Amino acid sequence: MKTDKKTYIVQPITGDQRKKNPSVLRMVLNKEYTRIDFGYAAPWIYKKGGWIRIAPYTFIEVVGSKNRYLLKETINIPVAPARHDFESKADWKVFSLYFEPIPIVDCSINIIEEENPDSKDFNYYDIKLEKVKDVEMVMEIQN
Amino acid sequence: MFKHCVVHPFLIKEFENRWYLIGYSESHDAIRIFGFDRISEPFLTNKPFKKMETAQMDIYLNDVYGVYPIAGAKKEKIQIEVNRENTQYFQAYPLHESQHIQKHNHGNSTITFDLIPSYELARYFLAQGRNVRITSPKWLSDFTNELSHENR
Repeated sequence: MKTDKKTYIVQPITGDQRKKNPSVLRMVLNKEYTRIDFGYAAPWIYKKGGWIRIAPYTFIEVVGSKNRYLLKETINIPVAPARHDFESKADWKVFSLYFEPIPIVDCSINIIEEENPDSKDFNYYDIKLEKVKDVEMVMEIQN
Repeated sequence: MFKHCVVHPFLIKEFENRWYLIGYSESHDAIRIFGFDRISEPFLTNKPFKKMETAQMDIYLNDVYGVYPIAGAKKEKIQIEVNRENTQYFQAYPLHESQHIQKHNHGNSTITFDLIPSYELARYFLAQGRNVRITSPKWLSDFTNELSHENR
């Protein structure tokens, strides 16, 4: 059977959510996983920048079908109850969340960390993925 | 603070022990400079490379002291007045290949450069304090003075 091993990179359209912290930077989609890259700047309200973590039950929900795709793995961010403590207000972090693979089609998604969120939870709604198959990844460059 | 950019790179440049990537950014629809220390997890994609004119590359490679040209600045003759001690320093460590020193009787000098004014150049002049005075162009002198106020 012929399988599609192609990996696509999408810059989601997040509207005002781009100003959110963490901000959604890009999504990487293939048949094995869906990866979302975030950037987070330590907030000024905490003396040493506070801390960051992600709930283990975080999921992607495709708007319309309401199908859910669960968090599988994280890079550079601890899964709760563990957490990363920042050392200063000027710290920042780029991290990645790997989910079960969502369909590789244009669609809108929600990223839900907490179904009944408070201000500390990372919920994102109606993130639009357009021209999903336009940009294919050829290789990952090692920093 | 964070941004995902699709970049067509055409040059890497080192300045003061830091490396920079210079390229056309689709996200900005303009040429942009990215510090290597601020680039995270780049991918190579199948997007066709947007070629740049060789002349465009030469500008960034040869005509800019540092990496960040001042917005809208064009290559022009920059003239500074320098005291005796600093004249010797400029002689020993030329700032740029276009540097030309005209010495005066007391050892002070008028030094000219053919460069695109950059932030690094303005900061360099600023760091020399009273030893260096920008005489032309006036806008660069004003810009550098404003920069000194911002730094206070």
